[in-house]
Amino acid sequence: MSEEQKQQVTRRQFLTYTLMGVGGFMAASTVMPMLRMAFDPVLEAKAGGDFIATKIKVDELTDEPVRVDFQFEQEDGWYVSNVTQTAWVYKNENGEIIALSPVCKHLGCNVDWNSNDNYPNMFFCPCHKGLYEKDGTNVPGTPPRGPLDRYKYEVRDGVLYLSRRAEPTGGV
Amino acid sequence: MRWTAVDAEKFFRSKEYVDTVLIPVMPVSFQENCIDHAGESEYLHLVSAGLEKQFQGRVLLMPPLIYCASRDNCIIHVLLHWTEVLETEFFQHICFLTVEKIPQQLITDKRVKVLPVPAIPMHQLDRHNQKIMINEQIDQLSRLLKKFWMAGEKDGPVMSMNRTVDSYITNET
Repeated sequence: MSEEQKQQVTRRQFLTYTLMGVGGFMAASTVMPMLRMAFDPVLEAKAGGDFIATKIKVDELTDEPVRVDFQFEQEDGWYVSNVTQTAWVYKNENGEIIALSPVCKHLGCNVDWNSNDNYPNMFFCPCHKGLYEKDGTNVPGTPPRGPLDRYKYEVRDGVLYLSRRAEPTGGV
Repeated sequence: MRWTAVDAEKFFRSKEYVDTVLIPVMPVSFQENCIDHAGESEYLHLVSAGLEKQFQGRVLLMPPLIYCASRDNCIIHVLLHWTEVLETEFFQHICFLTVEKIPQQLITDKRVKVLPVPAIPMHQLDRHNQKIMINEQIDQLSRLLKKFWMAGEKDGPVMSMNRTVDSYITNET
């Protein structure tokens, strides 16, 4: 056997390498999507921004609810719309931030804080006189059947971030 | 509530809570001032949509009425007609949102309630100022609407029909 023949790949070796290559490729094509599925939630959470920055600094909040407007772009298919959300935000006696949705649980009008002289320090709905306590609890005997929805919040660098949608707090 | 199938169903289920109809009235022309009229209509559209959003549980926002801008006295009969029709449907507050250009003295019938909106050419403002203008306008009109409602409760549905819009506006200032 000459030196040249030694370095040549034998038929057996060539077939082994080819089979390994093709087999590996096929295995990867089935395993990769599964791995991707498994890790997808992790990847999404990193890229996600479910909380929207408001113009409110947390230090400025008091125990008096203030009206906070915040905006974000919402993609619905290929249609992008600008959504403005409103929240009533204050700090309760424990120093926790409460961000209430202004949408009345009766028929969806916007409630106002402290707007009616007969009902001081309450949320009042001008449409059908729905009443809510400061913490959003509905007053029995008025039209609404549930407490006001609440936004989730986060504080980053002293700035208040609110979730895109308010969520029901439960209870009837 | 708006004039869509979803909202109409909601309206039908809770009719007793909806006592107010809003109808935007928009000027139309096809001469050189059509740009202004289109801009005013655009503004009126945004303002009425915002008003509906705020009071959606009590207010039914109708599709807009259009009229020929050069012959604005023709629209008066239409407004009167709709006021009469809607009164029979037990709506207590039938309000037309118009640009101020409709001369108010043309509306002689006191039953026709008009919420005047200043004629603002939207296209001459930038986006930021548009938003501010619209929000201010909505605030102003919602105060007026709340006044209608409060007066309606005080002197009952029949009396409030006979009061003119002017008396509410002068009360405010």
